[in-house]
Amino acid sequence: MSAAEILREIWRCWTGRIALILLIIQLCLAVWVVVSTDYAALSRKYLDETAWLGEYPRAVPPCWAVPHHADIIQLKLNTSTMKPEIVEKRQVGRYTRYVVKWSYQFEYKGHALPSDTLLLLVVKRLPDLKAYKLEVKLLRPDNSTVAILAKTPITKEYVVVVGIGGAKGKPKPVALNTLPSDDPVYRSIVDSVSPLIGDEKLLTELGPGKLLWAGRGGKALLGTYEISVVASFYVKGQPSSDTNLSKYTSVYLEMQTLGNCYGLMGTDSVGRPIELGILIGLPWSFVISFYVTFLTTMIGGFYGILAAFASGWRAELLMRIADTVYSIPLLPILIVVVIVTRSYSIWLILTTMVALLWVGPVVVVRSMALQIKSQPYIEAAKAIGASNARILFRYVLPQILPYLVALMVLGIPDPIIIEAALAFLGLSDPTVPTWGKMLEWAWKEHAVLNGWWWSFLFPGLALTVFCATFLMLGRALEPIVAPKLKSR
Amino acid sequence: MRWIISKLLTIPIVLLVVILILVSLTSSILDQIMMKQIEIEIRRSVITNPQYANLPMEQKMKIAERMKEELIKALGLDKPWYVKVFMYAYSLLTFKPIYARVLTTRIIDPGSPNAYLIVLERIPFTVVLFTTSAIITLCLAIPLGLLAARKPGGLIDKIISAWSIFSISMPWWWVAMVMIWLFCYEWRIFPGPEHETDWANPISVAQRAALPVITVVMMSTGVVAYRIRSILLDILTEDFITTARAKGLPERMILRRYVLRVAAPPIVTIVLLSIVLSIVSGAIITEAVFNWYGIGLLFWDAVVANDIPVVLVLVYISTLLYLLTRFALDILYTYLDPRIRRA
Amino acid sequence: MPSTERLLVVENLKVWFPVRRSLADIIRGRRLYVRAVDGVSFTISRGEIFCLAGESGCGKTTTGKAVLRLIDPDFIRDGRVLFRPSDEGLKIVKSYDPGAVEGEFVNVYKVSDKRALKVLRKEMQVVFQDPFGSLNPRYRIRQILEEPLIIHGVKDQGERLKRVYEALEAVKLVPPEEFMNRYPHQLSGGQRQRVAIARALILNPSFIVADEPVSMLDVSIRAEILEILLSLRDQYSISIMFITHDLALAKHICDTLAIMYLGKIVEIGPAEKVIDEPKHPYTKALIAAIPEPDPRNRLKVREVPIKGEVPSAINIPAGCRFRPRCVAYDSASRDVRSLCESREPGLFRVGDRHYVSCWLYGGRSTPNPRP
Repeated sequence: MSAAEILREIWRCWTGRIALILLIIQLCLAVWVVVSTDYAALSRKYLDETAWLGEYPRAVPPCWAVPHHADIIQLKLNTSTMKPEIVEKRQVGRYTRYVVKWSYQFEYKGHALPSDTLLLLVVKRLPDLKAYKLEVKLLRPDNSTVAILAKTPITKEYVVVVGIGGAKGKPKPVALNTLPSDDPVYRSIVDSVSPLIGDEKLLTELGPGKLLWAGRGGKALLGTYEISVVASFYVKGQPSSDTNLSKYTSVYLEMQTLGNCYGLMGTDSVGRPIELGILIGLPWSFVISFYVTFLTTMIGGFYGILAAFASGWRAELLMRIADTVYSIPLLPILIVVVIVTRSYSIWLILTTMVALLWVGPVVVVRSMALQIKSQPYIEAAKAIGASNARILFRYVLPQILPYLVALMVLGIPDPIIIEAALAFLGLSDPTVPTWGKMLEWAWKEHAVLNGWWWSFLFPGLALTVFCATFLMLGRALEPIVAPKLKSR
Repeated sequence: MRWIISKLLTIPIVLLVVILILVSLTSSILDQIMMKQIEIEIRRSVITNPQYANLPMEQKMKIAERMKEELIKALGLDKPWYVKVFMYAYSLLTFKPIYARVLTTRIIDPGSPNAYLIVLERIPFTVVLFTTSAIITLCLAIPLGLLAARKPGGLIDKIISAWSIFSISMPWWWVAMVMIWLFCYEWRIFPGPEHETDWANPISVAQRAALPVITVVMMSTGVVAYRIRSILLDILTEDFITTARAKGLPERMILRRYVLRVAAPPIVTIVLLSIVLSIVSGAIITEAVFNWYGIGLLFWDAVVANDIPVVLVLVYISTLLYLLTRFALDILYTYLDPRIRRA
Repeated sequence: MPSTERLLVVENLKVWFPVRRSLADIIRGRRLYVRAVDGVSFTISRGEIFCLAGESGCGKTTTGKAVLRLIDPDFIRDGRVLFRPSDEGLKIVKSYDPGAVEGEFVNVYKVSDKRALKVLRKEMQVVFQDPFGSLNPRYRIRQILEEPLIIHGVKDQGERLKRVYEALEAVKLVPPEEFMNRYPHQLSGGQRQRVAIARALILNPSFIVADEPVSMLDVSIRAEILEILLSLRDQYSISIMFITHDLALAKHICDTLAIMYLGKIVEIGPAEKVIDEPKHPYTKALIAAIPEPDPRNRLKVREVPIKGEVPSAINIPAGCRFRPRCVAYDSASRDVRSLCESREPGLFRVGDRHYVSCWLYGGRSTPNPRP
C-alpha cells in the first residue's frame, strides 16, 4: 500500500481527519517558531524569570475571559518639553525659592483595574540648587489626591527615584506591586488611598499598582486624572523673569498601566505570556517524542524479529531479557538517574527512557514475526535459496514495518508525558523549555491556589492536544496496517 | 506450571537488576552518607566522651583518626567500588536498616529516621486510594464496555473511544490540578490539598480521598472501557459466537453468557495491571499534587529533600511490590482462564 | 519414463522434534520427541514420479521437507539424504564443500557452505499444498518469479524477463504479460498454483517435491495442474516426489508408490502393484476406503479392515507400530504375533521392486532394509 493510499484511508474516518489537520497545524507552528524567530535566544529568555519584568502584566488571565478590560495608560513625560506652572517664586535671603509644577491630564476609561502600574522617575538637577525636593501626585476623578512620591529631598545630580538600574545603562520602570511593602513609594500610595478604601485586606491584596486607580470598594475610578510633578528648590540670586526652568532641573516620568488581561492565554506569575511558552515548547515536544519513539520502535521491532527468528535457548534468553527490562519501573529509575548523576541533560533523560522503553513493541512484533515466519511463502523462499537476511529484509520486514509505524505513532504520548512528569518534579533540563516545565512553574507559584487557571490549563491542554493528535492518528492507522483488525 | 516457575524466577532477577542499577548509581552518595555517620559516631565516642575529657586535643584527634580508619575498614568502605556495589546491594536485599537524611516517620513510631518504616507507613494510603478507584472503575467500565461493544461505531462507542484517547493524552497529575482548582477553590466542594488531615483518622482520610478517587476513576474508566470493548469485539467475531447467534440466542444472552465469560480473565488482569502500573508511574505525581500521604508524595518529598536513602528504599520497595502484584495477577489470570491452565 | 539412474537416495531418515518438557520431565531427566519420520528409506530415479501416501500426520510432508533440507539439521536424528546434482553443480559443491560429496552424490545434510547449498536449492524445488499462502502477498507475479533468478545470480534483466515468460508459458498462464503484473490475490487458486509451479520450474531443477499440490484446489481444475506436472517430467525429465493422501490419484500418476504410517514406510512398490495387490494390512485398509466410483455400489456398506485410532507420534507402540490397529494381527499365528509384539518388521520383498514391512511376509524372504 502506498503512502498516498494510506493517507486517503486515514482521511476517510473522522478521527483521522481531525488528527491530520491538527498534526499539520502543529507541525507548521513548530517549523514557523524555529525558522522565523531566534529560537535559541527566545527560549533562553523564556527560561529566565528575571528577563520579563515590566514587559507584560503578571499573572493576568486571557483577554477573552475578562469582561472589562483595564485601560492601558502610557505616559512619557519629560518636563523639559512641558510648560511649567510656577506656583511660587519668591526671594528668601540670597536665594530665590521656586516651586514648579508640571502637570498632565489624561482619561482613564477602562472599567477594570489594571493588574499593575509601571513607574520610572528620573531627576536631573544642577548641583548648586539648594534644598531640592520633589513630589509626584495623582489627582483623581473623585478629587482625591494620591501621593505617589511624598516630598522627597533629591541630593544628587542624577537620581533614579523610582525604577531599576540607572547607574549604568538605561533605567527601566518598576512595577509598583513588586516593590517591598516598606518602600516609601509603596507606603505613600497605600497611605493616601487607605482612608478611601478602609479595608486593610483589600489594600494589601490590590497593592499600590492597582490602588492608584481604585476607588471605594476597590473598583476602578473612571474619568480624568491629572498627574503632577512638583519640584521645589532654591536658586542663588534674584528671581528673574526667565521662565526657562529646565536649565535647573528636569524630571522624566514614565508611567504605564499593565492590562488586567493578556492575549489568548494570559501570562504567568513573572509576566511570561503563556501562548509564547506553548509555541516555544512545541518544537521540543516533537523532538522528545520522536527521538524516543523512533529509537524504541526500531530497537524493539528489530529485537522482536530477532527473537522470533532465534531458536532454542537463544530465543528463550532474548525473551527473558525483554521480560526483565519490561518489569523495571520506569519513572522511579529515571528519577534516581537524574538525581544521582546531577546531570539534567535532556539527552540523558531521553536515552534512559529509550533504554527502558524499547521493550514495548517486542512482544507484539515477535508474535507477528512468528506468524509471518510460519507462512508457506517464507518456506518457499527458503526453498529457492533465499538467505536469512533476504527473508528478513525482503519478506518479513515489509510486512511488519507499517505496523511498527502505527506502534510508533501510538507511542508518541509516552515520552512527552514522562518528560512532563520529570519536569514537574523539577528534574528536567534547565535549558529546555517544555510544557511540563510551565506546569511546574505554575504549581510552584501556587497558581492553583491563587486561581490562575490559565497558567496551568493551557500548557496541559497543549500537551493533551499534542498527544491526542497522535493517538487519533494511530487509531486511524491501526486497521489499515493490521488488516485483521479491520473487521472490528 | 512451567511458566509460573519461570515467572517466579524473573522476580529476583529483575529485583537484582534494579538494585544493581540503583546501587551503582548511588554508591558514591552512599559512601558519603556512611562517612558522615562514622564522623558522627566518632564525635560521640571520642570528642565529647567524658572519659577522654582530660586528654589534650592532639591526642583526641589521634584516637579519632585511628577509630575512623578502623571503622572504615570494618564497614568495607576502603574496598574498590565494584565490591562496594555488591555490598550495598546485599544490604538492600536483606533489608538492613538504612537511615533517612531528612525525612522521618509520622504514624508508626513517629520521628524515626528508618527509611523502611518511612516507606512502610505510606503504603496503605496508596493501596487504599488505588484499590478503591480500581473497584469503582471496574463497576463503571464493564457496563460501558458492553454497551459500546453491542453497537460498534455507535454513539457510546464513539464517546468511549474519545474518552480513552483523552485519558491517555492527559497527565493524571495535570487533571488533578484542574480538579483541585475547580472543586476545592472555585466551588469549594472538597477540602483542598493544603487542608490539615489527621492521617491516622479514617474519617478525615476518607474526606480527603474523595477528590483523588474521583480523578483516578475519571481518568481510568475511559481507557478500561475501551479495552474491554476491544476484547469483547475480538471474541464476538469468533466462531462459537456465530454458532450461538445461529442458534437464535438473543444478543444480550450471548453477551452475558458466552462473551463475558471468555472475556473476564483478560479484563480483570488488564484493569488490575493498568492500575498497578499507574501506581509506580503516573501516581507518583498525582499523589503529590493531591498532597496524599502515600508513596507518590514520599517520592516527591524525598526528591525535594534530596534524601537519597529514602529514594533508594522507595524504588526498591515499589519495584518489589510491583513485581509481586504482577506475579499474583499472572496466577489469577491462569486461574480464571482454563485455556491457559491446560497448556 | 524413468531411467535407472538414481537421483535421490534416502537412507534410514529420522526426523525427531523435541517436545516442550513439563517440569516433571525436567526433574526426571526425560526427553520426549515427536518422531515425525522414523527410519525412512527409498530411492528416486531420474524422471521418476514417486508418490508418498498416507493419512494426515503420518510424516509424509516432513519427509518431503527433510529431503529438501527445509528441516533444521538439529532435528535430523539419523540417516542421510543423498542427492545427485548436475555435473557442474557437483563441481561447485566439490570446490566449496568437498566433505559433503559422496561419489556422484551430495549428502544434503553435510553441506555447510552457503554456495554449495545454493546448488541444491537450485536443483531441488518444491510446490506447496497451499496456493494461497505460498506466494508473498506483497509481490507481483513477475517479482515472485524473478526472485529465484535474482537469488541465483541472473543479473541481466532481459534474461530474467525472458525466463519469466517461458516459465509462465510452460504452466500455461498465457499470455504471460497479462499475469506478470498482477498480485497473487488477483488470481484464482489454480492460477496461483501454476505460478507456484512456474517458480519451481524457473531454475531448471532436476527434482521437485510436490506436497499435495492439488488437494486445496477445486476438483475441476485438479486435472489441469496434474497435467502440467506430468508434462514437466516428459519435457524436462524432472523427477517428482508427489506427496498425497489420495490413493486413486497416486495410481494415475506415479511410477512408484510408498505408503507411510506413523513415520515409517510400510509398503513400497510399483504403483499398480501396490494398489491392485496390496500386501500390508494398512495398505489394504486404505484401498478399501477409496470411494467407489460405481453408482450401483454407493449404498453398499463397505468394511474397512482397521480398528482404533492413530496413536500419538510421541508414544509409538513397541514392536510393529501398526499392531494395535491391525486386523491381520488378530487372526495371525502365535509365532507371528509374538514377533509383532516384540520386534519392528523390516522391509520384506514380496515381488519385483515390491516390499512390505509386515511380519506376515517375514518368513518368506530375507529382510531388505534398502530397496
